[in-house]
Amino acid sequence: MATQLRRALGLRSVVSTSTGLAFAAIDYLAVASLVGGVAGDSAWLAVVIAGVLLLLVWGAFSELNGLFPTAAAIRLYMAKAMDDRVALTITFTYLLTIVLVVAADAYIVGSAIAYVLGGALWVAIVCIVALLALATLSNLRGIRVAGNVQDIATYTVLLASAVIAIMALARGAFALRTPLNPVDASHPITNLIEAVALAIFVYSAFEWVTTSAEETRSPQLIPRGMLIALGLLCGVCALLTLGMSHLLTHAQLTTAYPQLFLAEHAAGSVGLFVMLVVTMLTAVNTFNGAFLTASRFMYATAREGSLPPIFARLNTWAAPWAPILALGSGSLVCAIVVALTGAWPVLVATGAALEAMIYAVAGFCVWRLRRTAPDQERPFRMLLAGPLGLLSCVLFGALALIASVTVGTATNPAPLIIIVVVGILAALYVLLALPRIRRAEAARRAARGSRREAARAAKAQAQQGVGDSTP
Amino acid sequence: MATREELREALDDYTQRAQSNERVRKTLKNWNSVIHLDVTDLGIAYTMTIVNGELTDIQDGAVGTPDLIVSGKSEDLTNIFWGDENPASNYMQGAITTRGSQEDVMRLDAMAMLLYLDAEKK
Repeated sequence: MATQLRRALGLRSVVSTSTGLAFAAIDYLAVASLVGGVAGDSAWLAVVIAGVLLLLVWGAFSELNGLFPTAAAIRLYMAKAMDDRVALTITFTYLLTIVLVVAADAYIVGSAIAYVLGGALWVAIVCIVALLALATLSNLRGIRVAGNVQDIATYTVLLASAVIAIMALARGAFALRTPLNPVDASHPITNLIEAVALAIFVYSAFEWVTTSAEETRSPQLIPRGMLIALGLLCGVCALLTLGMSHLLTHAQLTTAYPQLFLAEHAAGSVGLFVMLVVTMLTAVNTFNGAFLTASRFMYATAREGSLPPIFARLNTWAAPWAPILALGSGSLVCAIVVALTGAWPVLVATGAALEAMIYAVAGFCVWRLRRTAPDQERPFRMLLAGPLGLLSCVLFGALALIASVTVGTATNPAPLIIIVVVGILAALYVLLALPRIRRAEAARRAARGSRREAARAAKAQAQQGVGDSTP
Repeated sequence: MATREELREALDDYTQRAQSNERVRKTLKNWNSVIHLDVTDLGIAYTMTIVNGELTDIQDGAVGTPDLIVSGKSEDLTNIFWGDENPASNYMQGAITTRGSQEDVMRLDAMAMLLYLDAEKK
């Protein structure tokens, strides 16, 4: 059926969704954390190298999106490429990324507001609680940011960030220090590799736009939109990296709001306030996109019978309240822990490792499905999908491992420990609790019987009754 | 494969249950949508019209511009509308596909879930 929908997303919205989901406030911190490990002003190269590597991920997600153009794609391609229990364990572990990104955004926006107000830590914590409460309540009321508003917010954030970075560089007369030499005697090649692993995080979630495949005018818009989004993210984040590495001190780079210092360098107090507004705008996109995508996914997973039924309950605004509350409270706890400990680099590293992990999984799925379902129609075919799918799996698997033991420029296993603990909890749930939930649902359905069969039997009985009474 | 008559019977039963269900109307009270059902193996279509959370009717054919298009095989759709199969499971397994906003998909599924839960209580 080639009928057009009343409302459908065009390329502009696909690009803004992909870019907006990826460009969270934590990207400013991720960019700042790249600077220390690489020589001179060449940390931007880590952003560009990561962007080039992500073309493999773009190819993989474009092929998987063409195979399964649905919001449930991640469940479908993983379940078809591997054991369903493994697929569910990975999916539930990956959901941690969403909690981390929401928590990080609340923490960064709260800290930035507190800094501008000249407030102390408690001001930041009050802001974090207020922001997450607002996001949770508006989601519980079923309020979502309109598509056009989201487009404007995303493009404003990108444009303002790029302009501020260029203005800041212009203030320094573009006199960069060794912008093309990331390696020297005190900065070995391993530092650059670690920086590339962390730079993956600035692109993280660009692929979530594939969950909007059913809402687009044409499924082909998704690969095109993701490619443009990668280019925009690469350009803006490379500019920000250049600006921060050239102008900010080590102390400024290690705060929770390096973008404010960059804006202050560019345009004084006006720049500072503009950047504060821009930082708050990033949160609009993150909270809207992350809450919506994750809560709807959890709802569908619960309806499928893979999460407890409470996650499929709707409130009077037709919003799945349990997933929203779980996301809101999980993010709140995480954000407050980060505010009290200042351990945001652990968030960046954990997020980068989880993203690299899911990119490795996507590469594996492309390779595996080419072997198990070679004849299935693929509107988008990844070039050299066999070898490149495997390469992507190995490469991003290695980068996930590196990111999981690198916090800032130091070796630290905290992200790996967090991921392993969450992974074990997810596996225990899948292996022990899930079979019981599924058995209970199967028993309920069996006890209820088939209404179709009952109707058929009643009809047959009625016809027999008519037949018997006919002389 | 279900016949056209079997599917129509399931749709009529669904319509009648949805219209008489207060909980559905309350939960989905602000929902307005035109949904096309595309029955892929029979080559036919139906149009569901929902006004303020109430399923007004299910017409034969694809009428008007849809907000949501649901495609699937007659057997799956018939079982779903009788309430014998879980639409979310079919969706997550790729047996039925949709085009349109996720909010409409979730609300349509919620309607089926509420009808299922109410039928279970009776």
